[in-house]
Amino acid sequence: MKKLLSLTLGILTAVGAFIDIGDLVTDALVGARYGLNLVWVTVLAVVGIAAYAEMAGRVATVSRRPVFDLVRDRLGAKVALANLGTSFGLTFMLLIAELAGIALVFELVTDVSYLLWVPLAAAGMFVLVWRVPFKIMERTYGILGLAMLVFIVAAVALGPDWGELARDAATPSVPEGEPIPTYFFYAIALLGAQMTPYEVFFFSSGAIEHRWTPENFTEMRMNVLLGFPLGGLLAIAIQVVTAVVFHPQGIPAESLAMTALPVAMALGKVGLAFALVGFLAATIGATIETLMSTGYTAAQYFGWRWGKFESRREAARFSTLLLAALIAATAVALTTVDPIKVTIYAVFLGAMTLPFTYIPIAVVANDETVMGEHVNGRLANGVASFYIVLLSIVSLAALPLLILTTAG
Amino acid sequence: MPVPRWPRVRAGVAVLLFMTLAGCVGPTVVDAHYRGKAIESVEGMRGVIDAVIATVETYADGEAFTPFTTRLAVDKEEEAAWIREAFATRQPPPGHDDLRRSVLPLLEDAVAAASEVRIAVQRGRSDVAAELLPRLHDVSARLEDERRRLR
Repeated sequence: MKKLLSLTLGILTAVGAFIDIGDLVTDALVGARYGLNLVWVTVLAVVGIAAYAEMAGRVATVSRRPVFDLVRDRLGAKVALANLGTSFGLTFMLLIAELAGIALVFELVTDVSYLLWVPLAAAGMFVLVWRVPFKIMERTYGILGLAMLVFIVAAVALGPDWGELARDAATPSVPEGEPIPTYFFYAIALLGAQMTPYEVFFFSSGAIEHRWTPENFTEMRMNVLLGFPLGGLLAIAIQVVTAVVFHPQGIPAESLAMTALPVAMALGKVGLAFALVGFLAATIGATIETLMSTGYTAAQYFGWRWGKFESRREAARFSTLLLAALIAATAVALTTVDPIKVTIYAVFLGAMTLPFTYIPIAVVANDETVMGEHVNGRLANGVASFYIVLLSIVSLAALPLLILTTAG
Repeated sequence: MPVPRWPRVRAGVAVLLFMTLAGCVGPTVVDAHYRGKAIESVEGMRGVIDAVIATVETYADGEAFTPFTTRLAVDKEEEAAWIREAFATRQPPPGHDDLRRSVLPLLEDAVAAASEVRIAVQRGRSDVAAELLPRLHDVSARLEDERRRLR
């Protein structure tokens, strides 16, 4: 029973990791603008993130070495440092967006400007990360994240023409009047939102923090193979509700409030309350994960002691970096920079750097000297190779599309 | 053999100068671009007003909290004002004053309607917000007519 509970909570945590401010904003945006014509991106992203998270978890479990340690080993110190700089920068941008996201949810509940909530959200994060045990922390936001299921209920309650939605999803096309480059700009933004590297850093670092051994492979695979697809299902549900309510009328959805509005229309105040609790859980969970990931990436590269279970004195540089990142993110969020724009740029720029995170993982997972009998099989290698090609194309196309479409 | 540096610098300066000048004199005076901007503004404003309609209908039916609806109304009013400003401050090319005269009042009506919704919602008056629905539908229909005419 205890094991089943642990498994369920692990799955919920993976769901929480998949849905963050990037997803909440991007899913609604593409649903309203393109209907279900970009669902294929979510399917691709779910398969990709599940495959690579499994690989990263397996590598971390077998080698007892975190992702960035291995990246430095494989790419050399200088290239890995550039990779670290990019990953750290993007994770930091997402940290700003997630922190502001918590504040935006409180703004929706109270109508008090989100700027006043930002310092309080940061203080709350400080307490959660420094004072609350890891398991309680991740399980609480995992369970509260269940409130996001309200989007599936709302999708059913809206009573859409499922046949037509299925046709849109199965035979995607660029809607009439929409420029083709913009369609692909949003496809890349969605992929970036759903395959964010910090999810993999957090997952593999968690494997080391939890001291997983190969005996935990089943648990790890269940988390990945059920958690991420469930997260994908929620992402598709958001796309469905915004596609049904906004797409036919050409109403854009570019804010958290617009993401929640279809739920209120379908289920009233109770549904809206669930959606807001779900948003809060998703943004709190993602803030913790992005904050921890800023520390993980730097500490793992430089070989510092790191981890939630280490005492602050023993992992002093790691803890200091986390604190500095939290203070800096709070300061940036308070400059009135538009958090939604930061989110869109972060997920899009993140898509450009995806190969630099995922290629080294595939290389190490395929290295028999490190992995022994747990080396990648044919299927894993096939999937990994497909995504390396795909993510490389995405990376190359991203900047021209950003310029050509003036960011959508 | 080392590559001479100055020709590269001169070429770079020339490209920068060309891009800057093209940016200054290009889009705003091109007729099609101004018309395109007008269509874009009308379409964008219609999206905003339809979002306001959806918001008010939900609020009037008692299906959304006042703070949530207020944030939506404030956001939509700001978006509407931004669309109006972006079009109003654009210099029309010669011969396009009529286009400006037909589009701008529509955009202004839309902003005024969005503002009234925000005022009503901020006061917690769902009944007053609901009374604005016919006006919002009228603005939306006029924007749609204008969009069709321009297309």
